[in-house]
Amino acid sequence: MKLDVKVEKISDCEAWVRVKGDVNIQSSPVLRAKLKPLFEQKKGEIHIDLSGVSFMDSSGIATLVEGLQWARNTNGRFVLHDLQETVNDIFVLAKLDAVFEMVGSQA
Amino acid sequence: MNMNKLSLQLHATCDCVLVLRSMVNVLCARSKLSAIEQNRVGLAVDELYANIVRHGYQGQPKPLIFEADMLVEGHGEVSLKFTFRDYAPVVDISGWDCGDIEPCCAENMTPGGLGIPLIHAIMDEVKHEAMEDGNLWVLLYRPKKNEGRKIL
Repeated sequence: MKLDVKVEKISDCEAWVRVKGDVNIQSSPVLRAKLKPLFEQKKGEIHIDLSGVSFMDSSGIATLVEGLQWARNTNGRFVLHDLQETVNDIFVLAKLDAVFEMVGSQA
Repeated sequence: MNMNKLSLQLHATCDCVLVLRSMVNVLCARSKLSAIEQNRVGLAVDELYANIVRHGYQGQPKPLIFEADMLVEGHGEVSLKFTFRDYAPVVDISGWDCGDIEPCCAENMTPGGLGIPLIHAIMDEVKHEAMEDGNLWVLLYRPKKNEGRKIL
């Protein structure tokens, strides 16, 4: 399934990223390319809507970890929203569910 | 002909991951795995394939043989076996992290390095054999709730 990533800038310091499709070795560079400019922000919040993602591999998780590092370095917020059960399961399996700020997951 | 065995020879590139995924999904569906199990098995296969493409073949399209096999044992219990034969330089797996995934915190998180631990966390057996001209990888998955999953 083709990955569709839409970035919505709410303000200079808040963005929503809506992701739809599978995030895997083939598609994760698309997600990374869309997120990277947001990591140039010096502060603020980045919200990732994952409700349209049913599969994510470690390359996708690695991209999200970069967001986590951005939040840590800037005292910002990097929030994952509405993970599907299958994707949430992988975060639990990788013991990352307590590391990320998650809202509204289907677990 | 074994109807529960699917095999594929390809030149390994990133976009072929979807083909492997389809093969895995067929056998997972035949095995009546739950959506969660199916996703996990698909992830483990995806991760090993990605590892071969990225690190073994350095992104160059080179030959790979993939087999997905549903094994039915005496009592009708099934297990899924996935075999990869690559022709990449022989991998030294002695330094691989094959233990449980340790909880981590935001401070020491780094991108990457999660693929191999995930494969080991999901699969019941992960075997590697160094060949003269490459590597043979075998992943074995035993469904976690075999009750009611007898194959007719």
